[in-house]
Amino acid sequence: MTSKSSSSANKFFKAQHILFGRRMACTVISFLVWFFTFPVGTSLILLQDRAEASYRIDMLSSFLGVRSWTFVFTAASAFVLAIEGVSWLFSRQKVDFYESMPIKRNKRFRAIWINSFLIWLIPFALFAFGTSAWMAAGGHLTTMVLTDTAAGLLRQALLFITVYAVTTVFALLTGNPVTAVALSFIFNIYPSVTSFLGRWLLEQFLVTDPTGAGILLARIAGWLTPLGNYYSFQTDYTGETTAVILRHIMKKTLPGDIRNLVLFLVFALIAAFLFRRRKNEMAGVSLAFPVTVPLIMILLLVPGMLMTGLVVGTILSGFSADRFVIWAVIMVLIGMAANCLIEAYIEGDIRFAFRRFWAFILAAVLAVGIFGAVFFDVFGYDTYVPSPDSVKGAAFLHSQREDFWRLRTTETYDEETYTAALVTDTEDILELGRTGQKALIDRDKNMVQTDGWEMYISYIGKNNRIETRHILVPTDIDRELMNRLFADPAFREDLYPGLGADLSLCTNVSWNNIFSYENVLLAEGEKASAYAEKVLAAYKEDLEEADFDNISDGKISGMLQLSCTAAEDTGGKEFREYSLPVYRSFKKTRALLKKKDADMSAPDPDMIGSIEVSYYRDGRQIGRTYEDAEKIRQITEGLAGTDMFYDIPFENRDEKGISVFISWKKENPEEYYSYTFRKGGIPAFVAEDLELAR
Amino acid sequence: MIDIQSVSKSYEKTRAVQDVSLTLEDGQVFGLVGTNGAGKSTLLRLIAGILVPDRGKILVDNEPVYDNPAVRENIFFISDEPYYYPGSRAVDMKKWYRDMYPSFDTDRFDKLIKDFGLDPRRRIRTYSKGMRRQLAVICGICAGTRYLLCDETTDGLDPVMRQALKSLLGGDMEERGLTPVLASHNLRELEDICDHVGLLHQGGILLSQDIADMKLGLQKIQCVFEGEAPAEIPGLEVVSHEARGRLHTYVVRSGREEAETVFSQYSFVFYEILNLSLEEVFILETEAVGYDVKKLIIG
Repeated sequence: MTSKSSSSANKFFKAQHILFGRRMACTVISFLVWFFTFPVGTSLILLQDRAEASYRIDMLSSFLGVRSWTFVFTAASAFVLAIEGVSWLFSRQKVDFYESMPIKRNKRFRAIWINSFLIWLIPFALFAFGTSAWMAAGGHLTTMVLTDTAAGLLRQALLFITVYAVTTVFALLTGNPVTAVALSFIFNIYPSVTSFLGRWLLEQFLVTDPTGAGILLARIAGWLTPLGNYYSFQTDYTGETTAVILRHIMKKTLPGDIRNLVLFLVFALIAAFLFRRRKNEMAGVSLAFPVTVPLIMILLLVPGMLMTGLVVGTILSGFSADRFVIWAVIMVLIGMAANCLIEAYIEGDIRFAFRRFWAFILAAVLAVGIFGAVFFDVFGYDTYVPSPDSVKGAAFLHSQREDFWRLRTTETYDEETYTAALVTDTEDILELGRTGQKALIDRDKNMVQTDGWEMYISYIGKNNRIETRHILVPTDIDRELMNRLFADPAFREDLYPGLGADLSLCTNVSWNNIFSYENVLLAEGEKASAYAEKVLAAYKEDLEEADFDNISDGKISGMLQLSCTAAEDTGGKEFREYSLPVYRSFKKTRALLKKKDADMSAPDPDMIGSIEVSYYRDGRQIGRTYEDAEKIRQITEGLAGTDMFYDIPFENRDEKGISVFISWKKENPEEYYSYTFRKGGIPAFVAEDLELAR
Repeated sequence: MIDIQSVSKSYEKTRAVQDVSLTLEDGQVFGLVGTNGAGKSTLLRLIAGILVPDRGKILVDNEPVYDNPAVRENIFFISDEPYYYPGSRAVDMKKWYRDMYPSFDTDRFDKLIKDFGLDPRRRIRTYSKGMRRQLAVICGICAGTRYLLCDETTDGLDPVMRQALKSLLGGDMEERGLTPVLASHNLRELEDICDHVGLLHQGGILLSQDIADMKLGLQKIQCVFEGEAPAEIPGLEVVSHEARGRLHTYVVRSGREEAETVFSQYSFVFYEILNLSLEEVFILETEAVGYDVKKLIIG
């Protein structure tokens, strides 16, 4: 009896049947993962407190749609199945077997491709929608959950096929499983790794770089890394990953979907092309396309050498030319060793270690060139100051910089609102920028001792282009310039973010950012909100009356922490908190706070359990502990205060380097806090006890 | 008919097959001989459509074979290292081949498996090397293809199995016009199976001829002359002449009757015409074209 001729459809189903049987392990794992994710995960959520129904819905929605680890599993599934899917090309035995069968090559390729997708899709869809149906039966299903589930499936399906296509391309370039896994893995994360290296390089050598230049690299990396197109949101949202936020992300990552779709199409076409061109006799070799060997070598060696340079850079500091030569030589030598090892691996013979030496030379020139360009700042990044004609304003940020960047990348960022809050005196802006950048270069590159306050300046161009630089405002800067800038409300808003926010609560008031006055705080409600508004109004008035000289003398009395109502764009879930320094000259604020027993002149000695002072001399530690209330008062009065940016400038510190540990009584959350004396602030009894005169 | 036209194939810098032209007629058993690395496997893989020639073309029944399922349905390739799915059993492979080859004969498969004493439910990985080869041959025979390409298939088989294979091939050739192509580095194994032999060396074809023609065109005469041996044998082309004491061995290019007529003119103490083995024929023929073939074939 002979079998009947099989139709194409029959052959397809038979091929799928055989493939599922052969890939049973992958199929079972996929079923198990999605089973535990959907039905089991949902059951666990439903078992939680019934009172929090809305919370449960949020959690269910996130479980069924966009849990971040499920993206990772989807990408990993695609990676493994893609490698497994083309692994027959790595064995001559298998090639002889499959390629002699009466089936079109591209049909077999497609069959494996579809089978891989089904191994992922069937359990995902089955359990996700099965769980939805179960929830509907139990009255838990909402439209939001259902749409999130559907959107999650579509998005992850796109991620799967994109990672699959990228992995297939790099697996097809190779001829053995080890190289296939290594190369596919490297090039799946290559954009992100090179972006990381690039940003590291820029941050290491461009002293004024606030990762502004690196942001472009990070974005490009995100575009070229399938998973990166969905994981970028983690830099945007750091709060709770509630369904509302996740829904927002899903809406926002539509460009990520488009980028992945483009990536998929490009890599699928390349994969199809490579599969057609790949010679079967290349089974078992390292790289199936000899022409790609130098390209791959260069792509691996350049970042490899840069990484070496950066690691060496953490050991050798300094920006001199001779340092660069040492760097370059080490980079090249290590790169050459790596090149020889890779060549020996590709050729399977150490004698061919220098076979394509020209590729190494090219890689070395590129690596040293890139390294040198950044090292010597060939493009003048650090010294860049825009021309006066091209700038319409600037923003100065010192502590809420992340908020700034976050706002720029979210839907809520309003260009007009932001622009309205700019400092617009171009001449003063550029003068501060020039001085600040120079001071930073002097300190970090030229090793000139320079004291000052670190800030970020963002030049906003007339074309709305934003260039941000890290600057150091030197303590000897022209005070008139700073006073002029300080008189601008926009500048003050930058230094003290939150002044314009809708503040509703005082969340903390502390002495010198150390000691919290618990009794100042009021519970949530109208009264608390009114109090917060009153404090803020007083603070604004004090700030109006102050100038830069007042606030830059290091005389901070305490810190005020205020929070605003939850932002709408976070679905009412994310609160923003702002810290405002209260200077000694801020009489109105201090008077208001004093009414609530928050006297910022010094911490209440009654709250302090003990103070320990210690001092190292001649290799031994001399220490004393004080519990007497009067001595504690005298010590606290002598402690150094933070400056306008909550730091203690060196010139304000006592040069002896005496450490002061405050041990609070039980009400205070901090048991210990390390501090230091201000210049001339060491009480006489401490000096005597520590034998400072000897 | 398999028509190989000026085919060349290189692996990077190694020339595996070089300008080979051959015609494999239907209904013949074609033997492909050569040393290891001579290009036999490459040529078979080219014929099976696994590899693409760098130059030249291969036509099977006037159709290109590469990526052509219609043609491949008529070709079965038994690799020198047959592949089976991990964990598969003979019955699994039967299902696979049944789905792939429209003429696969499942009843015959079951019968042959039984006849060869193979357990169809046992995992193939537990089979011996010879059993795996037997299974490959059974799959190939039952696929019902017109061409069966065997790469060193006879090497792992014992004499009984070789005889069985010969019998199976003979039966299929007679019944359905099967054309087997057997590649081996061992001439002795092919001698009693093949009708036509091609000798490959360093990727090129040295010789391709019907075995019967080769044998018929050469005669080996051993004799002891009465008195002095003649300096030459006029009227015959002497391919080789060897003398050990008074015993002379001649190989002449002629028919048997013609040789007998010429040699009847001389007086002998002892005289006989012997059959040449395929190996001897090959050695003589290839030496005639300038190759020291003893080094190439006799293992």
